[in-house]
Amino acid sequence: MKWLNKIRIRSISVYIVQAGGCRDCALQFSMALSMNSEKKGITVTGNPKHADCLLVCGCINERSKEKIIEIYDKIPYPKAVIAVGACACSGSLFRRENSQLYAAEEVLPVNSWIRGCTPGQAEILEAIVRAMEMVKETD
Amino acid sequence: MLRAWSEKQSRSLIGKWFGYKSQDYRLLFIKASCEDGFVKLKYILEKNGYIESVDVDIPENSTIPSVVQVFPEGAQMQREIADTYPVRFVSKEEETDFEKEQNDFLLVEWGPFHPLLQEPVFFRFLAKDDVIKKAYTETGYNHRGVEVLCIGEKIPHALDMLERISSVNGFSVGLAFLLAVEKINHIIVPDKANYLRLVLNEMSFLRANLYSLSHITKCLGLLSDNSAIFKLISLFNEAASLISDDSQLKGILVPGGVKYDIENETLLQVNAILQDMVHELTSIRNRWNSTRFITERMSNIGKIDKSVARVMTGRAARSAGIAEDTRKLSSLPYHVLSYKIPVADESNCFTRTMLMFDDSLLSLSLIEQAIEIMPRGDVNAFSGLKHKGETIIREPEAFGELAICVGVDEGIVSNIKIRNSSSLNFSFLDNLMIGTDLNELPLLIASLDLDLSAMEK
Repeated sequence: MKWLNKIRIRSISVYIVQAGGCRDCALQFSMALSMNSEKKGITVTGNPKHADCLLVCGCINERSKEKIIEIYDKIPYPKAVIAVGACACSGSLFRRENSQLYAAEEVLPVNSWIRGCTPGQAEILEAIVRAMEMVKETD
Repeated sequence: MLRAWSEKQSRSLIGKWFGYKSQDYRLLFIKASCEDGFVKLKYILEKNGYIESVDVDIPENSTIPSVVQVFPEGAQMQREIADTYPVRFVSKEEETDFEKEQNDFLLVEWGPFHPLLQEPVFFRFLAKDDVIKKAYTETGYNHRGVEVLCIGEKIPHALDMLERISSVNGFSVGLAFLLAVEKINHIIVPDKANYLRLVLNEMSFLRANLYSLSHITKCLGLLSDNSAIFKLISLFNEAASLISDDSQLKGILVPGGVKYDIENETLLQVNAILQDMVHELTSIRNRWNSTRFITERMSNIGKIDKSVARVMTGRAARSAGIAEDTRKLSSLPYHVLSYKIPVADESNCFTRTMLMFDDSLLSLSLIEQAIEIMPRGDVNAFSGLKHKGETIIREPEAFGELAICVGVDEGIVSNIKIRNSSSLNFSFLDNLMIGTDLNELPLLIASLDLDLSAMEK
């Protein structure tokens, strides 16, 4: 169904979730977007129903976990989930026994992980494009 | 079952608070602990550097008078305690019953994950004709989780966590923590390290102010200015990359000074890159100042009375004419630099935004002055962490005053409590939102510099 995928090519809409953290990953993404968005055709949406890709930043706690799953369920297929930064990937320094923090992969099926505190701007954009390509191929 | 304090006890406590209030004391912290069936509350008050405390021991599941009726700035701290400990604070003001009143008004629930407010904050409004009539904000507990995680940790581990507490004020929190540790352990930091810390601190202020400006441009829909501000941030990142791999400047601070020496040539290069911002910032500021659409729109939003601004901190207070100089509190060598704190006459969204530009320019000027007189010598004088004690440090942060209470026992953190500027200013948000158009709400919140990172981490 390659022809169908070609028809479906359009800009990628990203929904950002700041699950609870220092917020620098989300700021890095905003900055990357403002400098390079036209190159990659990536836009931000405030409505999960319009999104293709969910960007999870920060530590996921009990409170944000439920909301993230709720948002994920609203995003139509094909959809990709990207964990941005050490907090979302592993809980970073803040994750301890009984600290009730979750890595993104424990909550959602993650397609791509961008590690580092704080990850680079170019890597975030690259990961979004790669993850969406991968998801569409398997669709 | 809740047990109420007797009328006499309540009056006595309120009387004590009023006594301190009448002598111009301000509420710095409310510390709480729970021992042997009692909740121990410690109200720490401050006036010109003098610290006093009011201690209260109450049985669990009791009700006591709310501090908000005397010190309104304590609302956020008190709410955190009420949610964490078995105690209830009683105020004369009745809470809004949104369920009951929603028949009369349009109930708008915003959050907790709105893209404009990338934090776990939940707003509920009762709005009529798109104008907010009543508002209620629900937040997480600012820094509470990180404070708990730091207890029992070694100083470097705690510092790592504190530097990641917030993207904009993390450096200031880490620095304030280190200053407290050094004070307890009688460590004398070398001159050069102090100057380097000052430069790095001002750089972190600059970064925070630039991000605040980028939020304002987004809320105003000025995409070209937003792009210009982001270019300035990338310029900042370029300068920061000469000093550290990380644009937040994490990992440079260590007990006793800074981790590594920064050559004077490198500092001059950093300064040259940063000074390129002056022209762009001034031109955007002047353009906004002379654009009627911006001045008229912003001047009508988020007006704060001088009486309210007096107990707030940062730009919210300074824009109302209160010349609060938080840099004076610092133990860094600000006293040798020449600067004037920017103030305005009336606190509204526009004046606060103009102060963002002025504060950025002030930071650039202070960086230049400090680099010009940078002394030579060692950058670290670490002599071990063997002492035990507790201290309170007040330091400037980008958005106002930061107060931190640190207890250390032979290199291990035994107690920590952080009160940033947002914990203080957030208490007034509900009232400020009343009368604001729903469309203008992001602008109001962006202009208040609320740093709500690390909520419930």
